[in-house]
Amino acid sequence: MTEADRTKDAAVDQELIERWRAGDERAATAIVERHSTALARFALSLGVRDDLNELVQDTFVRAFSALDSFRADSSLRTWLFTIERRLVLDRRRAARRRPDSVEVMPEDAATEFHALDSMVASETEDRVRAALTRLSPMQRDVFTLRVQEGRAYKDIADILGTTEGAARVHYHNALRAVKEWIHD
Amino acid sequence: MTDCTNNDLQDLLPEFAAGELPARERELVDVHLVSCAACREEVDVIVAVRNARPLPPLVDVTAIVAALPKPPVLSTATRDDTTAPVLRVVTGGQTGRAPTMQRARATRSVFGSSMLKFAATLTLVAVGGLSVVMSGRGPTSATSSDVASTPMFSGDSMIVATLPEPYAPDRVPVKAVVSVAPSVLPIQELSDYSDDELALLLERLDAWDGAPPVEPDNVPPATIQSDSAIQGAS
Ligand SMILES: [Zn+2]
Repeated sequence: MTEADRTKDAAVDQELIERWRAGDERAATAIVERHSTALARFALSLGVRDDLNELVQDTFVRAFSALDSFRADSSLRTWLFTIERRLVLDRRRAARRRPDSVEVMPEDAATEFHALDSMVASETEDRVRAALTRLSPMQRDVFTLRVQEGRAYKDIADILGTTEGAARVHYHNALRAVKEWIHD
Repeated sequence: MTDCTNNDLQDLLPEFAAGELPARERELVDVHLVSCAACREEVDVIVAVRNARPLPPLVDVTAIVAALPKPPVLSTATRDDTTAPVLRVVTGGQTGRAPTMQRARATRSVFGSSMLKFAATLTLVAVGGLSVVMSGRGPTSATSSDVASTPMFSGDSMIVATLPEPYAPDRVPVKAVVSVAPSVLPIQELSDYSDDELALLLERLDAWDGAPPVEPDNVPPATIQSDSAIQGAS
């Protein structure tokens, strides 16, 4: 996505938010339609497999409850990703406090996902997915946000709570590693 | 691979691979790729990773929207249904003529589609910034002389609230200055509104009288500005 696209996208989101604030509930549907698929995919890349719909829903509920704190200087999607990622971390933390529950951690989940999908995925896709599971969580998050979601480094830094410079370093390390692994 | 030193150009590669670059930048990358093996390899990896991205799972948009909080201007406190007044319009007469307050025995059963449209008319009038006189009850009620001293002008409207039977001792008129933020409702033909939208308008009308359902007898009269009843929820 180019800078111009981002600006246009932000303008559309801003308009929808204003309409919703003014009482137009259809604007909420438009916002959900614009971002829910990306949120679901981002959740998958974060290793979430269970209650994915619920997670996306919680993300929107939180966002709409706190729209006043949304700053238009970052994109709405970036903000939604940030909220979703925090929810995922909260879930994991809560799951860790409950030793009886079995929480699938990202690595396991990605492997399981890989196994499930290998029936239909091409060999290259298999290799890529396997390679992604070998990255550190931070490398994988940066890499998938940049490559699969097309987010800019500044957005990625916001979402992951890091700096733009660090995000670039993670990206390049991830790229180097994935390239090596898929050609193994 | 030999590292590329053109960082600005490298930053464009994910968008290039996604086919999202405008023509001018795409050409820059095309030209660069001819001479830069590192970037060519990077594009290959990016394309492979993009192709391996998980299929977007199905998301239930309707369920998500249903779970969302209501927009701030619509979320009013729900009131006890039996105490909600019935509203109807009395169109203003000659200049300077005091309005007549009426106590009607109509019940809430008149809340059909036509009632909704009536109520919506009121909302549209309010959007125009007119002052309307509203009959209500409760601790925020004013004496009728307050209202009688308020001249009504031709074209003004008055809202008469009909109170449910157990709570209708006397008519208690209240002066209410109603103003709604222009952005709340674009002025348009009523026929543009669906029944759901009209129901929402009526819900907003309910919010105009912020008086809680208590007996008015021991409460000092007061003039209300029902702006707060509307805006208070935002
Ligand atoms: Zn290069």
